[in-house]
Amino acid sequence: MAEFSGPEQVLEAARQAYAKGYRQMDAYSPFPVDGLAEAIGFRRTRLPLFVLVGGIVGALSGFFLQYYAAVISYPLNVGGRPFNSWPSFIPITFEATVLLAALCAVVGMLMRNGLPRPYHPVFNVQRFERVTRDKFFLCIEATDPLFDEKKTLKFLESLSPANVTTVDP
Amino acid sequence: MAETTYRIQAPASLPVTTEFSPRALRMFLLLVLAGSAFVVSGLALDSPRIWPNLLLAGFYVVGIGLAAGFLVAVSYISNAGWLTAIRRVPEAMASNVYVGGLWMIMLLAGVHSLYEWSHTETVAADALLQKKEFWLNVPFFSVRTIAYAVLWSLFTYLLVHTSRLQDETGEVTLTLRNRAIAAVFTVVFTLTFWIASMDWIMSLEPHWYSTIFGIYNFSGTFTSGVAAVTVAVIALRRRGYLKEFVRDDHLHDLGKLLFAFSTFWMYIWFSQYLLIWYANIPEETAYFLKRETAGWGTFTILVLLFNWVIPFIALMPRSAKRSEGVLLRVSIVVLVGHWIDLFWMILPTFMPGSPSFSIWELGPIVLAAGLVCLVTVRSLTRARLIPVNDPMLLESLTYHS
Amino acid sequence: MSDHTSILRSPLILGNKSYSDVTEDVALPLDRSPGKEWWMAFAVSSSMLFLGLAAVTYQVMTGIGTWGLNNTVGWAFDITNFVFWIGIGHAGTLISAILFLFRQKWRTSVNRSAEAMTIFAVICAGIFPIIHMGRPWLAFWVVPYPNLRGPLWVNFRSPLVWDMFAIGTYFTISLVFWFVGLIPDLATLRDRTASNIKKKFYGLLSLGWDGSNRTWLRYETVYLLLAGLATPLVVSVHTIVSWDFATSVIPGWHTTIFPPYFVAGAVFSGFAMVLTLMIIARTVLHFEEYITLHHIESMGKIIIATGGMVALAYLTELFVAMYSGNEYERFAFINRMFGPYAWAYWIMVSCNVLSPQLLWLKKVRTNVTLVFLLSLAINVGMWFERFVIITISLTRDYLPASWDVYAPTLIEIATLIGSFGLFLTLFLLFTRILPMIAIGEVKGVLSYGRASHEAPKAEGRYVSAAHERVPGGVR
Repeated sequence: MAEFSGPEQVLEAARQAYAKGYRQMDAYSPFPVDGLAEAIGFRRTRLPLFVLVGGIVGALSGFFLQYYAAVISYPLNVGGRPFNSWPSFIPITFEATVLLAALCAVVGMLMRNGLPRPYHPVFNVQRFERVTRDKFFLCIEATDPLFDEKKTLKFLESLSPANVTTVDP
Repeated sequence: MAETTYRIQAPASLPVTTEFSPRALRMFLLLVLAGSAFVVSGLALDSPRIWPNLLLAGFYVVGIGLAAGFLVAVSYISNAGWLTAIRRVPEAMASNVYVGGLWMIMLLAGVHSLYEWSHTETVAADALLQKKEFWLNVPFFSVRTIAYAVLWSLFTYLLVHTSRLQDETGEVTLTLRNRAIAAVFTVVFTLTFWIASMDWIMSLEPHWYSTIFGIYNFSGTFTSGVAAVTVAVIALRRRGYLKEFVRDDHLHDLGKLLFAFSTFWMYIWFSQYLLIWYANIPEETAYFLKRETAGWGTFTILVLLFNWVIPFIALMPRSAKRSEGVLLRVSIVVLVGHWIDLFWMILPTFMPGSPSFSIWELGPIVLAAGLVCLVTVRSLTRARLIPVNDPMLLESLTYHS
Repeated sequence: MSDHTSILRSPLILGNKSYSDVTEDVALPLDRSPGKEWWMAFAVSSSMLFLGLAAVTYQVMTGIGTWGLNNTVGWAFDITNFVFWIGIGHAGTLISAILFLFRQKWRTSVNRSAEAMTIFAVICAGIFPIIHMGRPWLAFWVVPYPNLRGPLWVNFRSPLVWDMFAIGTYFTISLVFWFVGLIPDLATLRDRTASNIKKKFYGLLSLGWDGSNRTWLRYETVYLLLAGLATPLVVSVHTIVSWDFATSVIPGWHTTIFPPYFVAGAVFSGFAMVLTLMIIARTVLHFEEYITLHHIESMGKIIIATGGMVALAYLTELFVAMYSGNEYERFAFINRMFGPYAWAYWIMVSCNVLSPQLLWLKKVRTNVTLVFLLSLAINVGMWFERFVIITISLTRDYLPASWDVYAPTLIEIATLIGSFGLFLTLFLLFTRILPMIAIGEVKGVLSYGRASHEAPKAEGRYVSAAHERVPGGVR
């Protein structure tokens, strides 16, 4: 794992590592760095689809709840309006849509990111504490087919980082 | 500010004007002439039917111009850098305010064919119209119409002129000056547009009133303006004019605007409908009743489909907002939808029963379409296609959406 | 990116901070023991809270009769307070969501506190309808659930039920949105604190965040989606609140412009409250380099814009009431302007329409004291707006025989004070426990506008770059 002190350096390092053929790696930073996720070969996420499904389910169930209550289960004449007063069912349908879509978004994000996560080996490195402050890290994982402890270490050192460490599992 | 004291020099290699093939200009001119012929014969043969359609088309044209001008103004006030690269398109389109304004003034000739309240004998027999006479009378109405047209034209001119001046001088202060003009324009626009739409359209049914009417018209007009700008940008890009400057990110932002304002339109439409439906007061529901019975009921569904349902579903994916083809089609749907929307507001008074479509509808459409294209293209040739000296330009050329 | 930023942009954060400085500056107030000022503020706010608690306890035990309501005026002080607080609760999500969508980068310094403010304001708002029920222990009856009282459901055609759904959803989503925004910062606090207990506390809340860029990408996607969802949600909440009134047939309540008008008013009042709190916070906690004059100016501009919309709505209502020729409509507005409560109407107009116009002047916008005073005036004015709409419209309706007047009792006033107490107490606690400024987001905009601010260099770069981009010629 190599440590860098600026967003540009880690971006450059990630690009070189990707060009070298490393795939199982991850970059860590205190704030999102434009293009860094792409540089380590991570493309788009499927979360928006998940959210869309949540929204549609929310809309259908929101409307059906009202339709069932007002038309099937307990039809009651309120102010001479039809049992299926669809215009007045729209507000709650909308709220249900947003509620479910947003909850799906957050739960989906946490699940896909594996959060909450009580343990991760990178935290074993003392210096890694500064990742949430001002340092940027590029970590090539041992599961990468090209990984070779000596070679990889050497490669990382060639990127002129501020520091290089090995992470114990 | 210290940074306003220096200038930016325009690169010398840029040609001064944008030229278009004379064939296109001739085609637009032909449309205008054909439309005019239709309209003139319509006035002679079926004037009760042509006047409301002329009102519709005139409001459409002035609306496109105003919406484009408003887009430019808002981009100045909010420091929205992204628009800069394509700003010349809405600037050119804003010229439609002059033509549209003139059109609305000429419509004063048909005031008696359009407005029930302009007949003294009708007012004499109607207690409610007498109460409204302080506002709805022909002299005051004419003064207001002229005032709207003059004010809007004046501010549009100032805004566009200042922006073009910067091409020559490169003064950064011109951006700051335009920011001030834009702020005043926005105030003038918001103070007049809602009341103009009430004057021209709401008073067609003088017994009915709705406070949201002005905002409803703003939402529809602005959405159609964004759609028109999008169509023009894509058309220019396809012909190679803006190719080097307009990237998918610009389209993406236009798509987002279209998506957002189409949804805003739906929100306003529904707010008006729900409140009138719910309170169920006879004076108010008469408006929707007329539009829910017989053929107009089906037509109402078209209004919603074209203005919101189709754009909303089509533009939901990110990739759709970045795709030239999808965006172009959706923009055309919205432009048609805006015509349908105005038809739905204006015509039921003149066409009780069911809506129908004839050459008297077509004539004003052809004239309006020809005029908008001609005016926009002519105006585009008067200045550089890119505001070369705008301090926001580079930001606009390189940003990511 | 910063290379291409326009020369008209100025840096958002002053004082050439490094990334580490940001962490230190924001987190420092959390380590220091609270100063004398904080304790004094806390003492005042918690006393207010206790006063309110006592009043509510007395009211719940005795009954709604402790309020000044009568047969004619059934909604007055409590609903005014409810709408007032809900309105305040709109700015937070607006700043986070809408300004985020519009790429207004200056939002990063203020969004965290504004969101916190939103949540506290919604809590304050929620209290009022519940205590107005008179038997708050039955409040759960507004929730639709299968029950043993036969097939009995809530009336889904009632705007009050819509309200429950809208505010419930809004509270949930605001809380989630706020928490999602906090996760990276909680990790920052976890990694910098020395205390073991704090480390456990922040560690638990930060869910094991490690700053991985896969995580960041998904996080940013979700943040964008949440912003996209929260924007119509904010609009819907005050829209539905406005429908509580507008679906009726009472002149002054039933008017179609209410939905957008209420939303604009909510944003207007919310921004005023954000300004009030941020100006205090930046002075007391020394955040002048983060919440700069530029931020205050930007918020001032939003106040002009939203204030303009509110003024336009007043004008529309007034004009259409006259235009309608409907005598009840006309009377409702004449009564507002010249009736027994005319003073409330004119306070509203002078605070909401006239006073914000001063912000057109740059001198005023950049004068912190003046902006602070103006923000207070707007808070007052917006409270009166709701009072004018709700109470005055009710006092004189169609039947002159049933006209009546309304005056609040001490219990009602104490309840209002209590809600301010609750709001301020929660806010003060927040400043002690969580970072007031979004650390991660500020770091992202730290370099913004810095390079381009060195004017001459930027000029050269600009011209040459523009030159390169120009192709053979624009035809």
